[in-house]
Amino acid sequence: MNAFINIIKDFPRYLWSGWGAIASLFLFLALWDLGNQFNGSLVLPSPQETFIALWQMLHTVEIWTDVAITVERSLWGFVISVVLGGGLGVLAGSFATASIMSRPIITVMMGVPPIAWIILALLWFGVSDGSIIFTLVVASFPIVFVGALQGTRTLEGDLNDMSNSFKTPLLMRLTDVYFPHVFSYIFPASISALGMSWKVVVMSELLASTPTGIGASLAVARSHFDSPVAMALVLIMVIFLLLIEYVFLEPIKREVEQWRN
Amino acid sequence: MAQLIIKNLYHKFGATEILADINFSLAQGKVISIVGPSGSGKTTLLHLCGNLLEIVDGEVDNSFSSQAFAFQDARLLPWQTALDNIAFGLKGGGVAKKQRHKLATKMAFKLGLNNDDLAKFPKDLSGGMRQRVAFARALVIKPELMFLDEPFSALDIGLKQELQHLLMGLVVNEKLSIFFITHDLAEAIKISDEILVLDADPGRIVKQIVLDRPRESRDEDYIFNTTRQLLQDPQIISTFELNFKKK
Repeated sequence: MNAFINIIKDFPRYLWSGWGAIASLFLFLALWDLGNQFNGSLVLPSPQETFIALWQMLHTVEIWTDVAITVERSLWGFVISVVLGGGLGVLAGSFATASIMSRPIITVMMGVPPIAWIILALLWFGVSDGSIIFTLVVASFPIVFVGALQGTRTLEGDLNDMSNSFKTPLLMRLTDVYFPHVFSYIFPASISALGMSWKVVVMSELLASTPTGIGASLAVARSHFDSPVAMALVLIMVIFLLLIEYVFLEPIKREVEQWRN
Repeated sequence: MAQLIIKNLYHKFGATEILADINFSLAQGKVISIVGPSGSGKTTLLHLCGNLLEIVDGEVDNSFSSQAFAFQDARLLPWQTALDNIAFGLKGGGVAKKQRHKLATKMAFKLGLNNDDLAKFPKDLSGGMRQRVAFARALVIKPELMFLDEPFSALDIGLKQELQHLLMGLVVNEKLSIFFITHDLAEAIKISDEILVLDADPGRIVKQIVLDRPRESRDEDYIFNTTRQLLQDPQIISTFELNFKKK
C-alpha cells in the first residue's frame, strides 16, 4: 500500500523527467518526414498523413475491438509465461541437476524463431486463439524461466545463514529473504517478456490470418496498398508498448528496485 | 546457569578433516576467544556451536535460551531499510510491527544511528554504519549468547572500541556470554576470560590461556606485555608460523 502511494506521489516528477525522451521522439519524427520527402508517400507516408489516418481510424469502432482483442491475447500469453516461467524457473533453480538439464532445452526453445512456432501451432491447433497464445507463451516463457532460474541459483548462502541464525520461520524466510531476491530477477525478465509477447502477437495474427486483431487489420492494409493505414497501425502498437512500459511498468520498477545501486 | 559445552567434537568436509577433538565450555557472563591462523576451522567451529551446521561427530550442549550472531560482513537484507533489518530477528520471533519498530529504534539510537539512517537502504550506509545496524539487529533480541565472527576486523579503531565497550557492558550487567573468533591476539587479550589457540590441519586446540586479571584493569601495558609474552611462546610461534624468517 505504501509502495502504491509512493508510486502515485513520484509520478508528476517522473513525467517531468520525460522531456529528454520527447525531444528525441521529435527528432525521430523529423527524420521520418525527411524519409518521406525522399521516397514518396507510397513507400513511406509522412508523419502528417499517418497521424490523419490514425485520427480517422480512432473514430471507428473496429479499431478499438481489434486493439482489445490483441491486448487480450498478448496479456494471456504474458500471464501464462510469467506464471509458468516463474514457477518452473524457481523449481529448476532449486535443484542443480534440473538447472543443468533445463538449460539446453531453453536454448533450443529460444533458438527456434517465433515465426516457425506459429506455423507449427497452426498445424497442431488450427486457426484459433489457442495457436496465437501458444506461440506467445513459447516465445516469452523462456525469458522469464531463465530469470527465475538465475534468481534462484544466486540466492546467497550468507543471508541464508544470517536468517537461520535467528531461527527465522520458513514463511518469513520466503517472504523476506528469498522472494525479494528472486523477484528482482523475475521482474525485469517479465518486462522483456511483455515486449516480446506484444511483438509476437501481431505477427502471429497476421500469419494465422485470423479475422480479428491488429495483425488482421495490418493484413488488410497490406492487401489494399494502404501505407498510411499500415503506418498508423504500427504507430498504435508502438504507442501501446510505450504506454505500458513508461506509464505503468517504469514507475513500479523505480519503487520496487530503489534498494538497488 | 546456562552454558555451552563442547565435547569431543570432530568435523569433516568430504574426506578433509576440519576439526579434531575439540573440548571446552563457556559459562554465562564469560567471554571465550578462539584465535588461530586462516584455515584453522574457526568459522566452522562457530557454525557448529551456533547450530548453523549439522554436527557429525561429538556433542554440543547449548543451554542458553537465545543467541545471536555478528559476522565479518554485516549481512543485511539489501531490499529492507535499516530499521526493518534491525527488526528482522524480532519479526521472526513474532513481535508485532509497532512494537518491534519501537524496540529496533531504541536499540539503533543506543548504537549511534539516527532516524535518517534508519530510513536508508543498506546501499546508502557506510561500512561502519552497516555493522552498527548488524549489531543492533543482534542485540535487540536480547541474546544470552553472542557469536562474533571477526566482526571488528573491517572497522576503524573508534567504532571498534565503541562496540567492544558496549558488549563488555552487557557482559557485566546482563550476564551476556560471548564466543569470539579473531586472529588478533591483542583484541582477544583485551576482552576475553579465556583464549583457545586453534592450529590448522586439522583444527585442534593446542593451547588454552586463562586471563585472571579483571577486564577493567587491563590497561595498554598489560595488553601489550601479554601479547608480547604470547608471541614468544613456542606453541604460538609454530601455530602461526611466526618463525618463517628464521628458516
